[in-house]
Amino acid sequence: MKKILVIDDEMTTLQMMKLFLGACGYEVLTAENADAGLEVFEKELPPIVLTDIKMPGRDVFSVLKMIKSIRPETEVMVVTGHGDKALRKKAFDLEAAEFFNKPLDTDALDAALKRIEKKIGIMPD
Amino acid sequence: MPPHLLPKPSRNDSPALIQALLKENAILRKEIRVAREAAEITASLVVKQFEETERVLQKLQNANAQRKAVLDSATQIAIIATNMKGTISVFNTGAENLLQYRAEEVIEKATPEIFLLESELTRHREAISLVTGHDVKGHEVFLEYARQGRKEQQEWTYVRKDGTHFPAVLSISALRDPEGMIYGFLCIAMDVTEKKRSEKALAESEANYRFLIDNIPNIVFRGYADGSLDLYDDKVETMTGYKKELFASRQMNWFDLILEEDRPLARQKFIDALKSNKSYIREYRIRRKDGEIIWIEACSKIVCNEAGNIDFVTGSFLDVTERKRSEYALHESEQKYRSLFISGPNPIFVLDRETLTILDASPSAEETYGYYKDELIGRNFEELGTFEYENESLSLVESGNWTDSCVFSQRIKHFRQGGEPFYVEVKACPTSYQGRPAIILAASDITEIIEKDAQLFQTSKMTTLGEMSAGIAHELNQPLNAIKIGSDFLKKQIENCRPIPSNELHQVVSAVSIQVNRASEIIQSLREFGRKPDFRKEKVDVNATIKDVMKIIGQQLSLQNIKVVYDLDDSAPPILANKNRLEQVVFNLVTNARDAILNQTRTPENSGDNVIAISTWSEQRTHLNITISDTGTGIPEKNVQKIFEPFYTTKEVGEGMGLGLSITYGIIRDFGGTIKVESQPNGGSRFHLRFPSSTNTK
Repeated sequence: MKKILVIDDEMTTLQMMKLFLGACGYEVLTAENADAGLEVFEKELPPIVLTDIKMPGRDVFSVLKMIKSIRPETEVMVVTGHGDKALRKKAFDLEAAEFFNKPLDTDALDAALKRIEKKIGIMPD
Repeated sequence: MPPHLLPKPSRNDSPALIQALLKENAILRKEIRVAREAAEITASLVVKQFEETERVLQKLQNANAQRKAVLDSATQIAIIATNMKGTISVFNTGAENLLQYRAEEVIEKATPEIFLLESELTRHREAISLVTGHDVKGHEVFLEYARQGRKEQQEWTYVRKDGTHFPAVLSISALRDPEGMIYGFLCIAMDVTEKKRSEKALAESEANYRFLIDNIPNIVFRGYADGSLDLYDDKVETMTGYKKELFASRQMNWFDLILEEDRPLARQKFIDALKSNKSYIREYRIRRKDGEIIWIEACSKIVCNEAGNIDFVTGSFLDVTERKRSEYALHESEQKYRSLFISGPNPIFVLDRETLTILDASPSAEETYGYYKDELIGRNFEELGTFEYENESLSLVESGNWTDSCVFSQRIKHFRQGGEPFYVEVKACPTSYQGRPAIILAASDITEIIEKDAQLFQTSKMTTLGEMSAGIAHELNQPLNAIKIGSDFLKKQIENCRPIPSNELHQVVSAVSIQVNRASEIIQSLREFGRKPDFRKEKVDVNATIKDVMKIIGQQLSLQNIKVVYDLDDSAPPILANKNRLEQVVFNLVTNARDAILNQTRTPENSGDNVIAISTWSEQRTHLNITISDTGTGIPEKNVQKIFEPFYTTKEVGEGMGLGLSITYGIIRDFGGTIKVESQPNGGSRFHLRFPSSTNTK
């Protein structure tokens, strides 16, 4: 079963993501902050990570870098509430796969997931 | 010869004898007749004598009665008679009254010496001894005085039976028998205590009168028809420079001293007085000898004789130059204030200090309030609007507890006629008006200032809101995001005809509901914050205000890795403020703290946490303190004094207007509070706010 890691400091968001991505056929791993996210990532090595850009504690870009350094082919999608172009560019520079604004466009997420799945050759159950 | 003594006639008698007998008989008859006549005369003489005696006796009785009446009626005059030995023979009722002895105690028992002081007696004895050339002893002194016929009265000290003394004038007369021999003396003494007392009182009164004349500034005068003037002291010389004798001798005429232009009125006053009650007060100027002109007030009375002609004029002159000068100054000053009152742009009221009833109102008050003066006078000032003092309470006015300082109040809402509200700033000072305690109150219409203030405040808030918008958007996107994902999940399942387990359905709808609430709360705080300002004051819970502000910007701060540490005193008393404006204060201070932190360049040595600490605490429940401190850049010492000035900013042009702290300062002051700052470059800043608690403010 394909795994996806969602990192967000909002418990409710995590819950909803879990339901939604579950409906998309994923086993959803969740973490409430960057450090917990990295820990889960190292343990489970999910191929796809969806992380909120702002996070108390660690800078999201350092999270992105670390994930990429652990497993370069990991597809990391970044979600932000700001819609800041500079952030978007910085995320892409760090080889983020996608960049979403809040509230999340689930159709775009669906499409992105399908594209990634195709790219990395996994199929949801 | 009586008939029976005649010889018996015989038969032998010769005719000669008969003749002889007849002759004898005729002689006898004549004798008898003479004798009878003599007897008749004697009898009438006896009767006369008797009648005369009776008359004399009657006279004597009358005289005695008179004497007794005289003695008795002289109840306040002691009349004492003595014999040659000095023994008292008469002691009248007056003597009894004055000397307290009964007549029977002294008559035939004492001499008048017992009523007199031995020392005085001795002195008189010695004096009379010198005159007579021999020693005068005991009561002889009275005899000597009586003998000399000294009628002049002498004052002696008399001693009553109880030992008390009184002064008396004594006259001593000799008592003489018809042959002119002295058989005793009479002492007549009169009590002169009262007389002496009146004399003394008179002397004192005269002295007082003299003292008064000498010491009052008034010059007492008496003027006569011939133009001469009697003056009773030398003060006239000080006043006019002329000696008083010049006036008495008519070398100087008082009326000539009066300035020519003042004479007609002075003359008129005199004529008027003559026609009415004869007294007048007139004021005029005189020219002194040295040329100086002074003001005189003359109070006079015209005294007329029985024929109705003027006898003299008496009264006093007083130099009233000083008073005139002050009156003039007062008049000028009154004119000045009157014109201020009339033409000043601000409404001015005169209020009764007790009741705050309007006693007078300036034309500007009429104009501003839209009432005629008549409508304003008599009305209670408080009817014009709420008279709520901010810093100084109205109770100060009510209690009459005035110090010299005036009461000042900002922003009172008043109403024009027709109910249109406007704001005034009031300054009230104690004064007196027509003799009663009053308040003079100036009310400046500051509506425009308030409106500007409100606009500025609003602008400042909008700026803050603009700065906050990114954070707020993020804040709102959080719940929206959760709602979106949750509902899209449901949609996906339904579209794919997949069943939704009830626990999942429940999870989603609960999350939706909670997130909607969360979004509404944010919107609510925003709406409150963006609300048009209102200057009404209410009890404000400071902790709740801080929490509300942090609802809007807290998220943004955590996004920027700024930790907010709270230390709020739950028992803090409310303060009298306006929540919306207090929020603005907290907003400004927190965003400044944030900027100070964000502007800080982090170096390895300076890598501590970014913290904004907010604390509140109550100070004996009379005051409430708030501190907002940060770990930011701090303020250089030279700028600390400037930060509350308007338009002072450290930010780049376009980033801020530099009004934040100035507005903050204004708001805090409006709530009776103070703000202080402690800061060190790179050591962070600490803003300390202190407000009186609502229980402490009226």
